[in-house]
Amino acid sequence: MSYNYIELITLILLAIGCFFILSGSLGLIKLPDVFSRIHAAGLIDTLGSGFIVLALIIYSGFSLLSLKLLLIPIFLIFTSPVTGHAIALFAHESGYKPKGKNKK
Amino acid sequence: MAKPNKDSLKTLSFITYFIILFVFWFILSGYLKTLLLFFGVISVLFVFWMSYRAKALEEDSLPLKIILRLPFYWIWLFKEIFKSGITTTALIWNGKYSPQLITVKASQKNRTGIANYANAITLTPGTVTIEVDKKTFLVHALSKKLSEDLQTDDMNKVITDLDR
Amino acid sequence: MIFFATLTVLGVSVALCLVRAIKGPTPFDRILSISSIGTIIAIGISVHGFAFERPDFVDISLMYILLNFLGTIAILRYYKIKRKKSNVL
Repeated sequence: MSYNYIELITLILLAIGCFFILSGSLGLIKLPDVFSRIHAAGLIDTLGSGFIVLALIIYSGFSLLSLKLLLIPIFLIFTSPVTGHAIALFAHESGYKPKGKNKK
Repeated sequence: MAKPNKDSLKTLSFITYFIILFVFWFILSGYLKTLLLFFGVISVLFVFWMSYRAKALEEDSLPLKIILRLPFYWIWLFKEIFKSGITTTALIWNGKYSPQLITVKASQKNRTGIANYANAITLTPGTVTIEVDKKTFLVHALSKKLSEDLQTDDMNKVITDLDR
Repeated sequence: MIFFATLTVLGVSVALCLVRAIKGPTPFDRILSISSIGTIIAIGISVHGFAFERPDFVDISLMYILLNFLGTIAILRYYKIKRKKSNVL
């Protein structure tokens, strides 16, 4: 009985994570320029991976494995903003201007 | 605690760094035998020596003051990421985005605080720090609501309070 | 069973990112989408490990995330135009 309960929670969390990853990669196609697409990549890195890893942690129960799984979002939290900021900075320095109105 | 001198503070931060590295080694390996624990201590010491030699261990590289307030800050940050993530997802699906550039002022005192604030802005989906110039950031936001949320200075105040 | 469905959705997202990587007008678009593909595949490796009941794959996934980060930064350094103003790297 309790097994089904855990599996249901896992299913819901996996569905939410899949939805965020899918909409992030849809945004990667749909949005107009580089600076906007960084937001979509950030959505994949934070929310999508976070929900899927949370689902895996709940499915596996508490052990050393779940601590190891918890390291994945921690690494992503440290590396994802550095990547996004570096791409934005270098694109800005190479002369690409963001579309839309610029209020300085 | 009346004004700890610099050396004891440095030793304390070294010990904390050692403990963090050893816990990381243990999570990755999971062995509990004496000999293997000894090898783990040796490898942790090797990494410690390498990062000391690369001058990665300076005074403000491991700020001990904020380490106790860090869990509360992370919970607040996760809430913030979730809120703006939902806004960004809605913007992607309904296509009502209007990208814009704004400038934001930071009021943190040291380098760690400023880096922390820039990382927090980039980590919440919908806002990206493009350029850091002393204490003003050039931020790219995906819509008007997200940029107005940033300009209310909530996040700035929380991160400034972090190293009071 | 749910893990296989998750893997299918992840595969579709990788295909969508790949479209941007092929089409992208600027080199930064390509770097960004390759980095996103790396993240999705790293998550997919650990889901795959759970699907076939071999959870040891989580270690590989951890290594993949770190190597993905290093690779992105290395390619970005290659594309750097102006050296003077950049104070991050």
